[in-house]
Formats: sequence, structure tokens, C-alpha cells
Amino acid sequence: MTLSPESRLALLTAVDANAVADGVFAAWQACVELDALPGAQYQLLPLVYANLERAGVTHPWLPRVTGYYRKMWYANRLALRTLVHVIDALGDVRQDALVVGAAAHAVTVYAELALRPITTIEILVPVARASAAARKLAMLGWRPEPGANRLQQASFYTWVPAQRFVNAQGQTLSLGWHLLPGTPCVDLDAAGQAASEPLLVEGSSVRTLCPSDHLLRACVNADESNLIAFVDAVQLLRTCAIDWARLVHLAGAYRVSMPVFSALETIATSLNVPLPATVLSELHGLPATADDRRRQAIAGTPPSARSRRQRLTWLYGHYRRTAECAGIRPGPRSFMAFLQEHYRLDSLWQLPSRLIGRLGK
Amino acid sequence: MTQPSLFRINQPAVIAEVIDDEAIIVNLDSGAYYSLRGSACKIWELLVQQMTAADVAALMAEHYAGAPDAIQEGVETLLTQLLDEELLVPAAAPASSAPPPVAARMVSERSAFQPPVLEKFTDMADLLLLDPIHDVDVEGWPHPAQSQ
Repeated sequence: MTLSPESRLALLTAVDANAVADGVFAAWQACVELDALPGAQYQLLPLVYANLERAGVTHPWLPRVTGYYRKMWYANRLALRTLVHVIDALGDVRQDALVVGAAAHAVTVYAELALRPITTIEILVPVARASAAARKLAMLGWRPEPGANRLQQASFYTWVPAQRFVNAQGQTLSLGWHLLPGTPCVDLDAAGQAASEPLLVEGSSVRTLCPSDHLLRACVNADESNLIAFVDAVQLLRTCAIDWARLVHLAGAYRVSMPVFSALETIATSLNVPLPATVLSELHGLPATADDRRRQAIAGTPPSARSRRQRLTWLYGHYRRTAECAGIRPGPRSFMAFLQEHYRLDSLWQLPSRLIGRLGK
Repeated sequence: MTQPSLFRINQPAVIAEVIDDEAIIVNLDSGAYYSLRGSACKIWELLVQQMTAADVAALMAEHYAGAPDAIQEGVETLLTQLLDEELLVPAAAPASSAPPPVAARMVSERSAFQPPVLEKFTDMADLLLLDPIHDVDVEGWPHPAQSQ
């Protein structure tokens, strides 16, 4: 994966404790404007604050970057409190719920809670419990966004891997039912559940993925538009014992070896984080299909910069992969069902105008 | 009314941290956010390390230029606000009589004593929405820019 020079410098400033002394921070801030920082770099600011603070330098960015850190200290504590409240309220679904993503990373692999923005609380449940969990969330006042009308339809949970919810305070929660949203295989979800570990959040006992599965997820999610996922991966590598055999096996068995290899190679070469010598070659040697290669080629382009053809190819590839994982034979009817759920449409008649709106841009 | 002499943070509902000489305090039940700067931050640090209000006032008088009565009044006023907001609650006597670390760390600034101010921000939704880079004044989040 080729990162832009600005993204690479932003990441190095975030993950390298000596970034300020080594001039990395100066090089980064010389080529970006704080007011126009891309969203992916924006999320790294608490780590930038920590490195500026450690170096004891005064910089014009500091008041606002400190403000960002203060906000994350505040918002993250409230997010954890909300997370525990939601998990407790899930009732009998609670035992199968896993805390993943930002909240899990913030409390386990970062030195301080405020360093990892919890912009979205992420909870995973088995697909069979997802509808019940969505109902519980609605009872707690969480509003599905986008679309509410499809949450009671069984086909929604077949074709869509997660649903975002928002509460009255503006906090966001993603309820997911697959360990890897782009690879919605129940076998992989079961493997993640089986290897899950206990986690103490705000004094409450919850469960989360094992470090190797967290790393797998972070690597699959890491790209130019999601730089914080690289930092999550680096923090996991620095603080946890990774079961590399498990990671390589899952990456091969569920056909995500290309994004995992790409992310780890970037971490090793661009961010100078050491990895076991054989891991990259093992991942590189795993077979990949033509579909996998096409998707990986498109993944190098940020979603907002993709051409119409790339967006169509990506969407169709996602449909094919979802159908394959669900054991559904690809065909026009199932593709229509996929598009209806993907776009949260009440009726298939709304599909033409939605497609023109989405893909015509 | 006579106030109790020792205090502690009202945990678990209240959390606090000192960042860059500013004490930031959150009531997790209400979402309210509080900020203490300058002398207010010092007073907070001393109170939560279980010094009495009288001892805090005496220590502040040693380190700041100002009338001892004004300093004592400032400390007591802030303490009353912290108790009214339920950020502090009465505490039992500490196990150790050693001076708190923050007292040992204090240097004699002899700058003029500014009455302590407790800033309070109550709207959790607004606080979560406020962009800390683009929508704030020179003090940074949670102080919205004039145009907000």
C-alpha cells in the first residue's frame, strides 16, 4: 500500500515517540494546514499532542491540539459509560456481545484513554442475535441512521454487516454481526467468539476479541482514509502477544491475506515497526483469487476518489462475497435484494433513482 | 454552617484530571464538564489531596501575592461551589499526615492572586458536537469561537 507523504508523516508523528526531536513533526506540519487537515489525520491529533507534550515544545498548533485531547478525554469517558450501559441493557444478548474497535483499543493498547478517539462505539453480536440487539437499542432510545424500516426484515441481516445508531446526545454506536464486515462468514464469527477474552470496562466485565483477531480486523480496515487503524495495529504489535499462526491461517482461510499483507508491510517499511521475519512472506505466499486482486487494487484508492467503474466493481464484489459467505447463489434476484438492503430501500421501485443518485456522482 | 474539613472527589460519578495546569472535571451522570485554571487548579489539586481549606488558604498565601483574607475567601467560595456541584464530598481523615505531593511541588510564584473561577459547560450534546479545531477560540475546546 502506498501512503501519501503527508499520511506517512502524520502516522510517524503519531507512533514515534521521538517524532518531534527527529524533525518528523516539523516536516508533517510544513506540508499540511491544521484547518484543512484530512479527517484521517485529524484522528491522530491526541497522539500528536502527547508527543508535543513529551518533547516540551511550544507550537502554534498546541492550544487547539490540546483542546482536541481534552475533548477526547471527556468524550471517551462518556463513551465508555454509555458502552457499559448498553451492554448491560442487552439482556440475554449480553453474553454473546463483543466490544470491538476504538473502545476496545482505547482501554487496552493505548497508554491513555484519551489517545484513541472513540468516535463510534462498536459492538459485535452473532447474526442470529442481531435483530434482538437492534430492538433493545431502539428501546434505549438509539435511532438507526440511516433507515429504520428494514431492521425487522431477516434479509437485512443477510446483506448488511452492521447498522449505525445515534442517541440524543449525538453519540454513535455501530451494531455489527460479522467480525469482518467485508467477509460476512459465520464460521469466522464463531472463531472470533470462541477465542474472545474478558475485558474490564469502567468496572464492568465484558468480552472482546483476542489480540490476533483485533490485529486482523485493524489490518483489513487500515488504508489512506483510515490511518488510525494503522496506529491500532502498531499498538497491538507493541503491547500484545500476537498468535501469528492464527492470524495467517484466518487471513488465508477467509481470503483477506492481501489487505493484511499490505497493511503489515506498510507498518514494517513506512513506520519502521519490526515484525517476525516469516510473517510477511507467509502472507504473500497465500493464494488470492482474481476478485481478491481486483478489490485490493481498488482499496488503494480512497472511497471518495474512486471512479464510477471502481465503485460499481467494489459494490458488486461485496455482493458476490456476501452471497458466497451466506451460501446464496449469485443472480439478479439476490443482487436486487442486496441492493435494496444496502441502500435501505423500502421498495425495489426506489432502486433506479437511488442508483442514479449514488453512482452518477 | 460549618463545613467538613477534608474532601475527596465524588467518585465514581465524578472524574478529574489535570492537563497543562488546568483541572478538568466531568460529572459522568449529567455529562457536565468543568474547568479550573490558574489559582483554581492549584486549590483543586490541594483539596483533593486532602488538605483542609484553611491549610490550602495558608499555602496559597505563601505562594501568591495578595491579602490573606481575600485568598481565604477565594478558597472558601470555590470550595462551596465544588460542594454545591457535588464534585467534592466530605472525606474521612487521611491515613498519612505527610504533606501532599502537589504542596511540595509548588514554587513561590508571588504573582498576584486571582480569585478562582469554576467554569461549567452543561450541554453534553453541544460539547460532543463542538469541533476542537475549527469551532473554538484561542483557548481551545470547549470554548466556542465568537461566531458559534
